[in-house]
Amino acid sequence: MTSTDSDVTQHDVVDVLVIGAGPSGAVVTHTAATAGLSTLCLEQGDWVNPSDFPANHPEWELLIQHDWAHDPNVRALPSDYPVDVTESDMWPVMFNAVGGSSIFYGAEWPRLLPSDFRVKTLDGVADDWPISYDDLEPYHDEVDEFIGVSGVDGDTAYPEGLEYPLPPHPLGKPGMKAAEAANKLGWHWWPGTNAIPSQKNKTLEQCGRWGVCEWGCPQGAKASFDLIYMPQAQQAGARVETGARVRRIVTGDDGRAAGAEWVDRTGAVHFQPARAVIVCANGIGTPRLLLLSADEKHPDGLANSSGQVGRNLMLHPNCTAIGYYEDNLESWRGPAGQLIHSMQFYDTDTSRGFVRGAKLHALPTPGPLNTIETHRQLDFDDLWGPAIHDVARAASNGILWAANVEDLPEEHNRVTLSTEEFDADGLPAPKVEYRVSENTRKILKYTVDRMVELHEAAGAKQIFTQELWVDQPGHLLGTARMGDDPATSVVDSHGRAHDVDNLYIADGSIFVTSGSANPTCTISALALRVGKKVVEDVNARKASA
Amino acid sequence: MSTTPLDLQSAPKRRLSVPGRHTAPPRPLTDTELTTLLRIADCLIPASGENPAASEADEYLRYLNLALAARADVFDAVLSAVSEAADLHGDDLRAEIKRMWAEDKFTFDPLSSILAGAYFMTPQVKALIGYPGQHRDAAGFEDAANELETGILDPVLERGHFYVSANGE
Repeated sequence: MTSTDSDVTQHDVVDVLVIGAGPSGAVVTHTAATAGLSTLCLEQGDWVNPSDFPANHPEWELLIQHDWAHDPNVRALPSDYPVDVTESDMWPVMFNAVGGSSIFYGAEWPRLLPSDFRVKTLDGVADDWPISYDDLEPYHDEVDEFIGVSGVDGDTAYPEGLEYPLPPHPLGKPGMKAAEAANKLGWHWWPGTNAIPSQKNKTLEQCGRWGVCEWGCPQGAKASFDLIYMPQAQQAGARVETGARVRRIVTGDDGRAAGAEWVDRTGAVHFQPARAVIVCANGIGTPRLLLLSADEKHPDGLANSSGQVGRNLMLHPNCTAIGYYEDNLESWRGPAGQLIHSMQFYDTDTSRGFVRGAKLHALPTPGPLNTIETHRQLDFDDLWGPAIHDVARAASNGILWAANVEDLPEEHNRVTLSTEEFDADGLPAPKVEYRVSENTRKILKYTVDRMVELHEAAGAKQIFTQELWVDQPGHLLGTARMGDDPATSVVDSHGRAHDVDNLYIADGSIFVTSGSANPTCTISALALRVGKKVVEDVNARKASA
Repeated sequence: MSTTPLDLQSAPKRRLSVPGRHTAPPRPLTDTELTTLLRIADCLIPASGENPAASEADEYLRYLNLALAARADVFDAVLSAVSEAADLHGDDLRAEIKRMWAEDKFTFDPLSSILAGAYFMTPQVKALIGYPGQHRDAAGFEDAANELETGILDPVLERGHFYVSANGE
């Protein structure tokens, strides 16, 4: 052991140490625990109850502006660490708790398309993944079955055979109107696929259509990974230690990961030895931790002989077009969650002047104050004074079209360690250096125009567009990319670090390209694949020991 | 070096990932502050037709307290703006609010969110604008099937699968 001293509390060795209790951490923890391995998950945040969420309270629309903001720099809870965004076009968001950012996600659950795994081959840009759509398909199926994904089988944007275990949610009035518009234009749409159970499933309640999925479901009816996978992992014997902020992964003389040092909320330092360490700290936190783990043998950070740790950050820039209609669409009703999605503009069409594309989704527009915020770009007298009463009524008449656009990997978009900002434990904050590329800006503009077209086809009376949501991106991808070549990638196709054979990464960091599908679906399937490999490797090592 | 079970090492329990909820602002407003704040509220949200002015909405003060508590982060900035407007009335007040809107959105935006947010929380106004609040409203068992039975998805199905095959999928 190279790192412990008398001020550090030493714990008993575990087979599997998972760092981070978000979607990937929960899936890996469950996979290892159910395989009979001793498994510990360290999480810097704590548990959040459905009764804690803002929508339980009448002032919910104000609570989400600060205390429950998506941006950790605004929210600044004890579990959060600052993110240095002084040199970034966008401000990444996340949530630090058991469940991770799935606490706040909309649970939209689209898989990547086959083309996403072969971008280099098809479009001559970025890189191909070392795995294919077919390779990942069985893991998707297993995850979908476990959490109870709701949707309509047979989406024509995908290869045949795509099925979901639970029936879909109703489209509702906003979804029906959005679908009618897509039909009028002859574009693809499909009833929304959501990791929100339309019927009670295991530890998840049936969706009550509260409409506030992205601010925490008050009913526990969303596949937030503190409510699914992690409870089952605990039942299988896994332990979850909350308030445990990992400050570095420690390697031994043999170059392998020996375990991790973490700090509890009293400031006491612990060392947790493990046979395998799996980092699941998201596309910002994971490279930060690997860089924090630099030592004499790994001066540029752990698992970073390629120099790719922290690079190729992809944030899925989002754009929106909100339309307001004459009809009362009861747009306070959920899920939100996607009511419908469209893959019409997903793949490359060179006539558009850019490569790759966007995934579009239609959502409701709950809340009168949120509607006021949407209208702030109006002149004073068009929003305030007597006008406010009509604006408020529009809240029930809205449809939000939003889109993730594909963000190609670029080495200069990266995460490093800040020299200016530090967390409450004195650890350097991650510094995000990110610039929106010209290709991405073209996709954003093109996509906004298409969403406006959808609203016009549906007869919207007023449309508000936003070409780049700077404070939205919770899709944190690419900063420890997978690949077959150790010179150009951080982990192999099973998430195992090329440089450290018992260190694995299972979160969005390992994406090679971003696609434009909401990524938690793919993150979870990848995590299951990584987790099964961890089980196989640990069992093999124990057998040969 | 000790080997200690984790459960004996646990730190004091705190809500690390959950902000505390406060139902009262950081301090009570003075009468002058409240009077001025309500004048600002009525300027932004005046009576119109069946809609009451902000200060006349049933239970507005109760919800204004909740709103101020929810945005305690901007409490000082809001009260600073209130102080500057303390002697202003009528057109002068409106001109000052409009100046703030044009020149100081970091004060105007949260101030107006608090005042409007409180207004839309009142049961009277929720009823008037047809907003039932976020609540449980589970779907009927056949709702989704009934929608699809209208044939709305048929045009998409008729066009068939269109994904780009990359690996013979």
